[in-house]
Amino acid sequence: MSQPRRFLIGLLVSTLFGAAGFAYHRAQAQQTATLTCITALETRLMASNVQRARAAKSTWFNLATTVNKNYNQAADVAVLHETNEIRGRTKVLIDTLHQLRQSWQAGHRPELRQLPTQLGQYALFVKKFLPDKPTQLVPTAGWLSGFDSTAAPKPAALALLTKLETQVRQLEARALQTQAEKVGTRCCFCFDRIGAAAIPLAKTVAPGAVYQAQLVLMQAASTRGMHFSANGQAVPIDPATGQALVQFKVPAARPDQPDTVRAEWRGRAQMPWAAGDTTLEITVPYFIVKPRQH
Amino acid sequence: MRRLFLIVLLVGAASWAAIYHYGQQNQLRQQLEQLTAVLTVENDLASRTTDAAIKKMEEAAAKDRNKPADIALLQRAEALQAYVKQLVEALRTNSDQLRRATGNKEAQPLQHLGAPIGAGLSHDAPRRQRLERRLATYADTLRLLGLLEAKTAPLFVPALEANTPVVEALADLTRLESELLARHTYALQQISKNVGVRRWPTHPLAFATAESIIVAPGGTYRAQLGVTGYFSANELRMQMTYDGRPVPLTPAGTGLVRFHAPTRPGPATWTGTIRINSNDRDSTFRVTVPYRVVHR
Repeated sequence: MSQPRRFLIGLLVSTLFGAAGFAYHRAQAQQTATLTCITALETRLMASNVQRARAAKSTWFNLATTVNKNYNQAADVAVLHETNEIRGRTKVLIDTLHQLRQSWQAGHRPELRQLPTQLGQYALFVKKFLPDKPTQLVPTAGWLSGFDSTAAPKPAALALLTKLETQVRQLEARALQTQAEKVGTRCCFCFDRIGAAAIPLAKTVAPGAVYQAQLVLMQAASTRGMHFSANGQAVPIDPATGQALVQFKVPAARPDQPDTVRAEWRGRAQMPWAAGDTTLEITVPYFIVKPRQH
Repeated sequence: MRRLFLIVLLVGAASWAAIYHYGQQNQLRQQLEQLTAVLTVENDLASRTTDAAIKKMEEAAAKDRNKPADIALLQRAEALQAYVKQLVEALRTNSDQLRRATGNKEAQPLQHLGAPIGAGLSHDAPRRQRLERRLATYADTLRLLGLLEAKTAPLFVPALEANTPVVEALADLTRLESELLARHTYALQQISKNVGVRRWPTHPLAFATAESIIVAPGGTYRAQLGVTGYFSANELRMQMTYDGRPVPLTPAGTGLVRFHAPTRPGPATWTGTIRINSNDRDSTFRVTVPYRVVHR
């Protein structure tokens, strides 16, 4: 081989390498730019997810409150049960997404092969509650399209999972809104009946003894659906007052009992509709006093 | 011959790498487009939410008899809302123009994801400068009114070059819209706190009132047990009195009335008052409570 030919081939090869290197460098720069953009969008979607979670909770809370204020009618209670189911299924799916995202973040590459099926099942379930059902198409089709979990860069996978959460929450929000309209959450139920009220410890007091009462600024509250108990025994609600009538026999005096004995009883009110199961407890003092001998 | 084989191999490897890279880059861009579409839905929702917030403020002001202070706040909120609407409109117009300039239709999905956007929004383009000025004006207004959340980054028009692929430019504009709406939502929330009568939260309170606190051994104890909602004096400032005397507060924010009963048996009453001062309006609530003084 002659010297110039060898030189030419050498030049050709190095140009090729140079071009390939340049193309590679450019491609890397392009990918970095796209990934930066993807991560920036993910940040916004995360903020959106937080808002959506809060909104869903408040929609559910208003719905549950309305159902209770409407005397817990069977149809309304059924809607509430459905709503609880929607919330439960959403939570399971979103927990899965969070777990996958954490796993990616920790440097693993978990399989996302189950996800389309899980999303599809969720969509089929939620579709029953959506107002418009013109398309028989599963709404989640294409949510993972073009994603390859073996080759995808980490930021792309993280963003994908955050985006899926947003899409799930979008479906949930539409379903919850439809549910809320079924029980008429939108109608106004402001109760502005505010007043001062006194809660005396007792209606009677001995001459010269200490009278005690709580003075409160009160808003009318309903005791519908509540469960009262005193010392662990269920107490029925008086429909006229909405209050429970506690009544119990005080034990007879033992021979060595002093004239005055301090005693107390424990009252408990359970409100089933409020966030979780709220229980209020109260300890009420009283005195067992032997009648005076005349 | 061996050299030629080597060269062909190298060329082959380089082209394969290029095709692989192109494919991956294209996938990333498709994903970016999907993210943009989902964020656009969120932005639409945020816009509707701000409309609802304005309407709620109007109703709150009307309910409080349209006091001048409320009307002033409402007008401020409406002015901000109009300004943000224009800005969002401008951002969306820019997006549409970018789409058309790169041979894409206005509807999703894009046909040419990687097409460079040209100089329309580059650093010295007048369109971009106008947009930047208006965003800065909005941020300055919020700062002056104290409606900017602490530690908020300034709103930047994305660094768009002539060769930025259209999908990235659209994503950046959508992100900017999202950030703008987030600041606006926060500002409206801050304003609405001061419009109309503030609605205070009530707390549930279990209470019991006995027929008599004193029972004979073997006798029957009777009491009423109930639940009510009350406004805590720890949150809502109130002055409580019984028969003109001040009432101390319990830790829960209720008033504790304690006095020695009269020595003469028979029916008696006491009167409690609660005065609250909320939104420059005084309200006094009164209650007269009967009780009986009896010898046991």
